[in-house]
Parts: sequence; structure tokens; C-alpha cells
Amino acid sequence: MEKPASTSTEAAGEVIVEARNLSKTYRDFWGRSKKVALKPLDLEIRRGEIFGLLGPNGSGKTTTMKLLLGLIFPTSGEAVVFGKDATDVSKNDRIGYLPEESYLYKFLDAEETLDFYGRLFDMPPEERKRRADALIEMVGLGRDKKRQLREYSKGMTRRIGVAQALINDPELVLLDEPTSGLDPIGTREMKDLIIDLKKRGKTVIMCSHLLADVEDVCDRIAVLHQGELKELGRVDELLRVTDITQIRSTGLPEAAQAEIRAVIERHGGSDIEIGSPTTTLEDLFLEVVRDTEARPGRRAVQRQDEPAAS
Amino acid sequence: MVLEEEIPAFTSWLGPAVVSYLLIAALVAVFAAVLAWLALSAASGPLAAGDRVYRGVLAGLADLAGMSGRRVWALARLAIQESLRRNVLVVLGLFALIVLFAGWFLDPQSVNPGKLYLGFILAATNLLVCLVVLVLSVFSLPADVKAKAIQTVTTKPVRTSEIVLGRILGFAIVGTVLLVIMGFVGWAFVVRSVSHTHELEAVDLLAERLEDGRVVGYEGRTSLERGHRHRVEIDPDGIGSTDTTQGHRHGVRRIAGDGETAEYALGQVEGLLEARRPLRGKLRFLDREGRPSDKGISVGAEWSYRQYIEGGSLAAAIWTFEGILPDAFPEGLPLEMLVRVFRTYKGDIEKGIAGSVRVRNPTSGLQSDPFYFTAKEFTIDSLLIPRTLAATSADGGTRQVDLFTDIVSGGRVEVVLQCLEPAQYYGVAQADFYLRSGSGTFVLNYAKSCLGIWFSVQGVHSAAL
Repeated sequence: MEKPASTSTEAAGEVIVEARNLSKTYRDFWGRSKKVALKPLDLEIRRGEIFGLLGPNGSGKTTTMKLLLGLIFPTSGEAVVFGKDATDVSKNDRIGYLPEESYLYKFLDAEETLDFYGRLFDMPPEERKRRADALIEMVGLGRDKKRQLREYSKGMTRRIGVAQALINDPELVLLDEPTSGLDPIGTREMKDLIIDLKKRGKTVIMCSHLLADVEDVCDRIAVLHQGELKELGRVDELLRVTDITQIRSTGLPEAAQAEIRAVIERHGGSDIEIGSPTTTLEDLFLEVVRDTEARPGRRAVQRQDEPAAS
Repeated sequence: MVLEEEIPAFTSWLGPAVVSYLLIAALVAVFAAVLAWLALSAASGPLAAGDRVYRGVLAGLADLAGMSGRRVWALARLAIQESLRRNVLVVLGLFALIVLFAGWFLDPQSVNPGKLYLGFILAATNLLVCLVVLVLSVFSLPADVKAKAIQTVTTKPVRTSEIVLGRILGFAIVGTVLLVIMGFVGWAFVVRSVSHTHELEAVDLLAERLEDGRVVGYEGRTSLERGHRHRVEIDPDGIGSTDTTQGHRHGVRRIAGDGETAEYALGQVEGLLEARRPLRGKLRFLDREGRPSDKGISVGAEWSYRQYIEGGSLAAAIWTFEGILPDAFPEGLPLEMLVRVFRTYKGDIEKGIAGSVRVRNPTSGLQSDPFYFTAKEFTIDSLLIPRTLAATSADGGTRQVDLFTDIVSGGRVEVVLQCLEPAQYYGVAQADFYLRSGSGTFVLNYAKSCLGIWFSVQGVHSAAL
């Protein structure tokens, strides 16, 4: 997975999603306020960026997404997508949406599912067929395309959910917990897909409570907590720790490391750490899987205290 | 057949009905808008409420204008696929079971087995199809909402009206297919169930001879089938027919031999599954003194559809028929009648109440001698008024009159019904007496019945959705 560099044009790109003082309060039958799901939110999302809505469960991520999709009406403020009110149906021509649980019709198979959603976009039969075939191949369901979705595993359901979200080749893709229920390989593929969408010029809005996923793919994030916007900005800027200096190198001997340490101490640096960095668990797992597939029956990752196999 | 009001011609009611429908729809829309405005006014004031209602109406109109046939058809296909995957065709198996076992419980010896079988099969079809589409319609959209599958649909460029219309169309197709299959099976069941014939042996026939010994015909009875026999009359050439029993008759023809060695074959059931084409008249009454009256006598029945005339008095029910032309009725007037009886004393319950029918010239008052009959109460009785009739004049002499020359006047004729037994009553309604101006095909009438069911099915599932 290679996260693409953000460009300056992206920052100056056209605003395609805008929330103005957007809020949502769920009420009971008598109209009494039951829960404030989203406090007034101002947000702008530009063309070509991957924007993450981050927050713990119940923080208002999904509510924000539903407001942007026009699935629910705001209590106050407005959501504007492609210059139109979010409740305007015509904007949906340019949108793809993957709900949190891939709410699809379980009695359809993969081909029928994509054909059905293709029809909803008024697509001609040849184009429907071409796109459905391509998407089924893309999400790796070629061998299972004739099985009803009720027989699919959660990961497979998620993948066909992604395919239906992309059936219309949308400009804006909204993904609600895209990696939910996926194994590490599926998670990596999903993240690769999101980055690929960006490379193809799509705008992606995703919400997740899995920090690593957001960190890996998002250009900008909004952190929500208890329905309130707590942080908003570029991921690399938000994560940068300005009072720590990091030096990375390969093939550095012990003596050189000691010399560097001495130089840092001479210049007043403290809490110095010099050692081998650790990889992420995700990278380790993927390495194991790939190695096992390449060389079946062999222990994939060698421990350092074990002798190397001849 | 109960006909409380005359059925208007299709062309006469369709236009006003469409206008009424549009008017009612417009009124409902205005009412809904006013209601919405009142509700919103309470929450956000009258001006904001007016603005929201206005925008809502505009959005609704845009919704209608932007509807796509392809999307509606996609949603209709989804509804059909959903129905099929939910094993809706199981209902056909259930229907087949009902049909298979119906033969055990339906009495082929009933007064009118055709009506019994037809009524049963149409009722079963109506019930099953309505029930299936009702269940599908009621649970379909709520199930989508519950499973949140609707979210992936509403985030596509789909209008709410398209979702509803698509479902209506889909379930309409499902209901129609079920109805067509059940209709065909039901039709085959009814036709097979009432289909029968009888055997007739030469020894069962008695020759009718003139004084010189010449045979002028044969009379006899058929074999017993399905709990009934028919009386048979055959001419010397071997062609004849049976009487009408259990609402039907059979044609008879000699297929071989002659005299005591003759072999006869009876045809299939006639007159049971027929679409009667009635020519109806206007009904008026005479009271017990013979004076014109708007109504007959009420015998206390809550339903005043039928009016009663007293027996053994001058009371009469008189139907005036118009448009009677010799070309349309070359054999005479085929009168069909349904006469109900109200007894003030039991009498011989096995014996029907006697009455008479006469035809009368509405201008000159010349009337035929009475045709006597006994009321069959629950079945349609038929009486052919022949071209040549006997008429008794005031001096007591009898003469032959021609139906169309002497009785029918300007295409009009009156049929006079009287009850002959004192203290007993005949009950009739306008639709109970009619002239049979021909027969339509049973299949067409059956199809009309199925069309009636189809309309009720559409009403049920549209309302359910």
C-alpha cells in the first residue's frame, strides 16, 4: 500500500461537499429532544481528497454521512453536495455509497445485485453488463457471482457492497466503516482500493473508528466526539510531533550510533532513542500470509535467535 | 342474480368516473397540504410552514416529472424476484391441493352444480391471490426498511414514487401471473367437474303412436348419473333432447339401428356453463284489488330488494320489455325467471307454489292465456313463449293469436306474473325476469370474473403498500 502524496491542487480544488451549521437532534414521538447526534458542524471537502470522519462509536460519524447523503433531514443548517441540497435526488447520479453493514438484497446473486443497481442509474444493458463484470472481477467474486448473497461471508458481502457503490463510476464515494468485518488481507485490499480511487480522481469520504485505517489512507480528517467537531486538518500535520526530531538510517554501525548520541547530548537533546524500529502488526501479518502462499509448509518469518535454514 | 341497480354501459360511466377520480385525488392532495401546513405551523410558524409545504409540493411535482420507466421496471423486477425467491409459487401447490380435494366436498347432486363449482373456484382463487399479494405487499417495504436495504436504493437517483410504483407494478405482475395460472386450472376444473353424459337404451324408451300405429316419437328416461336422470323426447328421426334438470340438458341422437335395436348417444352438458345475455324489462305492480302500485307487499324481510305479490288475488307483477323484434326472437320469447316464495302456511312443502305467466299487448290490452308453472325458488326457470298463442276473448271463445302481430306492439310487450295460491306470496325483483336474447361464451364470462378478481387484487396490494 502506497499512500499518494497530496498535491497543492487538491487543497485548492473545487469544494464538492459542504456542511453549513449542520446539526441533527433525534426526537421522540412527541417531538421532545431525545439525543443530540450532531452539534452544528461546518465542513468543506474538496474534489480529489480522501476525507476521514473519525471518532468513537456514537460520535456522530454515521449521522453526518447520512445527512450528506440526504437519508435524514437536518434539524438545522444545510448539507450541500455538488452544489445541490443533500436531499436532492439528482445528486445521487454522481455518488456511490457503501453502508456500514452492506445492506443489500440477500435473495439476489452478485450479478443480479449489480444489474439491479445499474438499472437504477438508467444505464443501458451493455454498459451494465460490462461494468458489473469488471467490478465483480475487481472485488474478486468471479467464482461466486452466481451465489445468492445470503450465502456470502461478511467479507464477501462487504466486497459486493463496494462493487455496488462503484457501479455508476461515481465522482464521490462515501464509505461507512469500509474495513468493518474484513480480515487483514481484505482490510489492506480495501485501503488499496480507496487509494486507487483517489488516483483515479475520485473524492472519498470515509468514516471509521479504526485509527490505523484512517491514518493510512486519509488526506484530511475530522475528529468527532459526542456529536461535536474536535479536530479538523491534514493527517500528516495533525500527527506531526514538532518537538521531537527523528533520524532514520540503514547500515549504521554501533560506533556511529554512539557518536550520534554524543552529538545530540552535546546540543542539549534528551530522551534519546536509538535502535531498530518495529514494523506494524498489519505489515507483519501480510508478510506471513504472502510468504506462506509463496512457500507452503515452511515457517514464514524467522526468529532472530534461530539459525538460518541452509 | 341479484341486480339492485341496472349495470350502466361501460362508455356511459368511464368518463364521469375518471373525472370523479381526478377530483377526489385533487381534493385529497389539497387536504394533505393543508394538514401538513397546520402541523408545521405549530412547530415553526405559518410562514416557514408555508414555505416548506410549497417546496414539498414542488418536490413532489419534480418527482413525478423525473420518473424513469427503466428504474420503475428495475424495482418491479426486484419485487418479482423477491416474490419468487420467497417461494410465492408454493401458493399454486396449495391451490392444486384445494382443487384436488374439492371434489370430495362439493356435491355434484346440488340444484346447480355449475354455479357451485364456479363459485367455489372463483372464491378460492380470489382468496388465495389476494392473500398472497397482501402478505407480499405488507411485508416487503417494511422488511426493506428494517434490513436497511432501502438505504442502498434511496442513495441512488431513485424517487420515492418510483419505489412505490415499482413495487405496485411488480406485485401486480406476480398477482396477474398467479391469477392467470389459477384461472386456467380453475376453468379446467369446473368444466371437467360438471362434464358428464348419460346412457340411454332403446328398452328405456316408450314409443308414442298415433291411432293408425305410426310412431311420432319416443319418450323415456336416461340412466342415473351424478344423482339425476333426465326425461328424454326423441322424434321419429332419432333426434331429440332431454329436459332441464340440475340446470342443464343433453342433446340426444340415434347412432345406429332402429326401433328396439336402436342405439342412442347423449351429448355433453348444455346450458350449464353459459353466459346468458339478458334483455331486461321495467317492473311495476298491481295490488290485490288490481290497482297500479309502486311496490309490492313487504313480508318483513329487511332487504327490500324483492317485493311480494299476494296469491289468489288480482295482485300481479308486470314487466314491460322493449325492443322486441321478430328477427331477434324467431322461435318466440325465451323467458327466464327466478321466483321466490313466501309461505304464510306450510302446506305441502314438497310441492311448489303454483303461478301463471301471461303476455299482454301494452296498447290494446290483449293478453294470452296463462302459462302455468310452479315456482322453483332458487333456480332459474325457463319458459318459451311460442309465436302462436291461445287467447280467450271476453265472450269466452278461444282464438289463436300471433305473438308479434297481436301481442307485441311497437316492439313492446308486457309479461304478467300472478301467484295462484291464496295466502301464499311470490317475491320478485326487476332483474328476476328477463328475455334471453342469446348466449355469450362461457370462457369470456369466466375471463370477466377473473378480471373482477384482478381488480380486487390490485386494490388490495396497492392499499397494502
